[in-house]
Amino acid sequence: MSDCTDKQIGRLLGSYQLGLLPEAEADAFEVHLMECPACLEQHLKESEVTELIQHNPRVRAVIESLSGDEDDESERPVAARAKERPQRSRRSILLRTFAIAASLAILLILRPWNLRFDSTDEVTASDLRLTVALFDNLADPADSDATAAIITNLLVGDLAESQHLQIVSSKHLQDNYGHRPVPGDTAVSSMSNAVRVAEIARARWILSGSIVQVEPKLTLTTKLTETATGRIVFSHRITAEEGEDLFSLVDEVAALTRRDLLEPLNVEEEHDHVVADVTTNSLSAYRHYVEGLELYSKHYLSEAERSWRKALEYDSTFAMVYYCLAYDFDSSLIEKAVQYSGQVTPKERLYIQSLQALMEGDNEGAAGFLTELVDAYPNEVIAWMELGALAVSAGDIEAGVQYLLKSIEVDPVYKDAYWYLALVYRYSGAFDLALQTADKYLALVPHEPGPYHTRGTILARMGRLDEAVVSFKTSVQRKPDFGEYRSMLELGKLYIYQREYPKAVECLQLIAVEGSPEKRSIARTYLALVPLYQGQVEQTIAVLKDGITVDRMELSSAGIADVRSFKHAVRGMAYSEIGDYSAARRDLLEAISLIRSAYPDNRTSWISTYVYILAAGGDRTGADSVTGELKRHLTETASDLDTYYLSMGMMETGSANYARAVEWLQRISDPGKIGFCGRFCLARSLLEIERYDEAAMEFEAFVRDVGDDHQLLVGIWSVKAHYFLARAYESANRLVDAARHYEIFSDTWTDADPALKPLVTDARERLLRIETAP
Amino acid sequence: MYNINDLYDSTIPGNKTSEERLFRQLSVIFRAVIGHKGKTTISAEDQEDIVQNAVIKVAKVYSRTTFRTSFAAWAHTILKNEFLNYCKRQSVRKKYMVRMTTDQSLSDSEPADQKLVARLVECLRQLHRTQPNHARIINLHHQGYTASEICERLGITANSLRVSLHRARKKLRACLEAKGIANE
Repeated sequence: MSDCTDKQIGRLLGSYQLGLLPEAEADAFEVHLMECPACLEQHLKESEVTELIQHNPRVRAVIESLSGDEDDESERPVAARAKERPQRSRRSILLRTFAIAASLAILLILRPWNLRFDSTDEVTASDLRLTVALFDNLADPADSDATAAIITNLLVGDLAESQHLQIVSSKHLQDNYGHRPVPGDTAVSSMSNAVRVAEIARARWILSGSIVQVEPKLTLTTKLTETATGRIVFSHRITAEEGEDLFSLVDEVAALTRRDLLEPLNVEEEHDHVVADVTTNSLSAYRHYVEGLELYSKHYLSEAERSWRKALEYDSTFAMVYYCLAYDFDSSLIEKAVQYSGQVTPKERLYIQSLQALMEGDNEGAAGFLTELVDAYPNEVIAWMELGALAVSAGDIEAGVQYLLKSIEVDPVYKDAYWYLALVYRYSGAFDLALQTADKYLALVPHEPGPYHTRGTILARMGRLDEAVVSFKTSVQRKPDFGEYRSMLELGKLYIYQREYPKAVECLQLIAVEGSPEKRSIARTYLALVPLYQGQVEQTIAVLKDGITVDRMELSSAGIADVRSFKHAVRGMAYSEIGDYSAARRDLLEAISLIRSAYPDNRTSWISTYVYILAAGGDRTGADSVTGELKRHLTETASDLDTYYLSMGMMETGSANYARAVEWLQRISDPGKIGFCGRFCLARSLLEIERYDEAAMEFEAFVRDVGDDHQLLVGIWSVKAHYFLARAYESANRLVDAARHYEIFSDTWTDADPALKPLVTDARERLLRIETAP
Repeated sequence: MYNINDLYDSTIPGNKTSEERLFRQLSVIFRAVIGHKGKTTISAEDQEDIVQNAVIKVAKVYSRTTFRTSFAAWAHTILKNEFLNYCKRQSVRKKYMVRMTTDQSLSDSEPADQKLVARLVECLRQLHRTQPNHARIINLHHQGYTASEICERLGITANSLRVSLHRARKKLRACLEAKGIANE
């Protein structure tokens, strides 16, 4: 290279750019770059090209078209990481992991993964892939004791322990398509469902059966059918002998099935467990257990818990019931699950061990057990899902998606995998993918409320409020208290945004009366948001006062400090809007105190809002003191300083030092930590320092993001955002857009309190000016 | 551009003009280095933070520090430490967010030189016509695959990759300088 000051090192430019140099050599080369203008210029010139190759859409499109399918973006290196195994009621632990992931990664946008909902061609009809049809109960067509369901479940569980057989239960489809056995038509319904599942899952065999009689002796018939031809290759009739019960018969059926399938292939099976030894000896316990599983699968959590607790009344050593209860309801019960884990299958033991590790905070250990599980049982769909949940909670969203796609590949009719994948996409901001996935979920179980709720949340985040309302309404129609009134609450919130206040109140009052104590408290908070959204601060304060009083009477558990603290924070912000900073300060201190009583280590909640109020009220000294303390705490705990930057930014906004506010807020490295109030302050500050385009962008994102819970809780600001957005548009000469948002703002605050009227008057004057401008 | 040591030698502490020249170039170099280190893992904003922090640290003490090797080596050490401190503070999970932030920030940055884009597209097509494998290698490399991953995918040795990529970039460079791509 000409003009290079040290050619020995200079020739390493290419290797340096390729990342091929060991660290010491790379360091030496970087020093050379500082000393050699020629190499530096060369590197800078090529960096520009590198940037284009990496990021320019037009260049990327050309490269990808030239390099062909082998370099499909969906097979980026991260897929390899997903395979490497990182060093999980699935409902609330998955949701809890989401609370973590969401707070950190809400703005993450995934690359569009190629979703494949059908089994790939590679998954051919394996010789050992078997669908188990829901048994028919000819002795009792309505199967009132759920005997058929129990037998099917036991069989699926027993056969799934095989290291050779791959089991897909058509009971999924039974639920998925709402096809319950019809009296007199049971055989057709069950079998046709099984055939459908077998075709989707590419299962070569279908095991079906009937309960012929229960008394005097339990008698079953079974048959093994080849999916493709409909040919029955084996059939058996088994009658219980003296002393034998249902569990024994299931053992026998399972053993016969294994023999029928594996012997011709010369495959030896490992030791077969006795079903009763690895589940329960009590049919009643098992019945309630199965019932709980079914309710749980529909997200009917309270009902599932009741069933499981009932199961324990019949068998207090039923390990898997303790496991299920520990997962979502009472984590202390994991100890019982562990204690009785001598009576579970090897697979179930791994689930229990994984959950135990998770509860001990050992996520890696939990993943390790699950990995062992899928290594031994590659078609264990729940384990794949839980690996996905663990990956997501660790922030590895892409690996999480891979695991979830794997679970779908393993069982294309397992609805929970679609539900959870839709959730991942939604929290990651990939709304189109989320909606596609939710639609697949819906197609599987169109009669259940869950998918409508999921769709509703996605549509709300996309700003498609009318469609979201329809979805939530459908969910509520199917089950009014679905998700402990979650759908009802979301519907109430959307009605507030749509300014359908009577409908909002109707939804929220229902929850305030019929929900659990925690849900009632939440509903009382949202009832206060109805007037708040309309700018009726005095009424809001009055409603919150009542709500706080009732909270004190009804809620004694520290676990709902969050719920109680929200009321004080909302009231504090409301007071600040009418200039009563003393009252605002008192409320924020109470909010902080409630949180710290419940969570002594939490020194950050509500601090940014508090310093905003202090600064806006003129107490800059107090605000500085609080932010100083916050910084000390974060430094001492080796935490990042994002919360500090947020607090400084909000404080400066409160002090009207808008340029400084922008500087602080833009230092936040984790977009998930800026929060709703932070975003509002940033947008407001940008507006005040006349960066109109940026302000408009921030406010646009703001008013679009109606799915964010916190937005409604700061109701005043969520409406004011329209006013400030209009101001930004007006300053940028986008008058049509400005007019639209002035109108929204002034309409929403038609009946606002006098203290807030000046802003409304100003909006109307500006609107008039725009409309009458030549 | 100058040798940074020469700039340092000619800088008089307190002389605004000479200091400005020194730190301007230092910032350019620091940006280039951090841009290379953190190209797929650190957002543009954070990269700039690291650079600014390092420059400030250099500015604070350079005039009263005796260097054992050279100003360049010393300044590089400061930059490297700043980078390592940043890495320690950040958790792995931010990697993905930051990657997208990087993408977004690029979309917010100044529009690309359209002539350069057009020339680059043309050259990439020429490169593909003469050496199709080179286009693939460039694509994989810029997607973030490591050298060993590329080797595995293409079934080539590390040395072959190094040579191929070097040739591909050299050809691309030459084409961009309007010399056309010659078959080897």
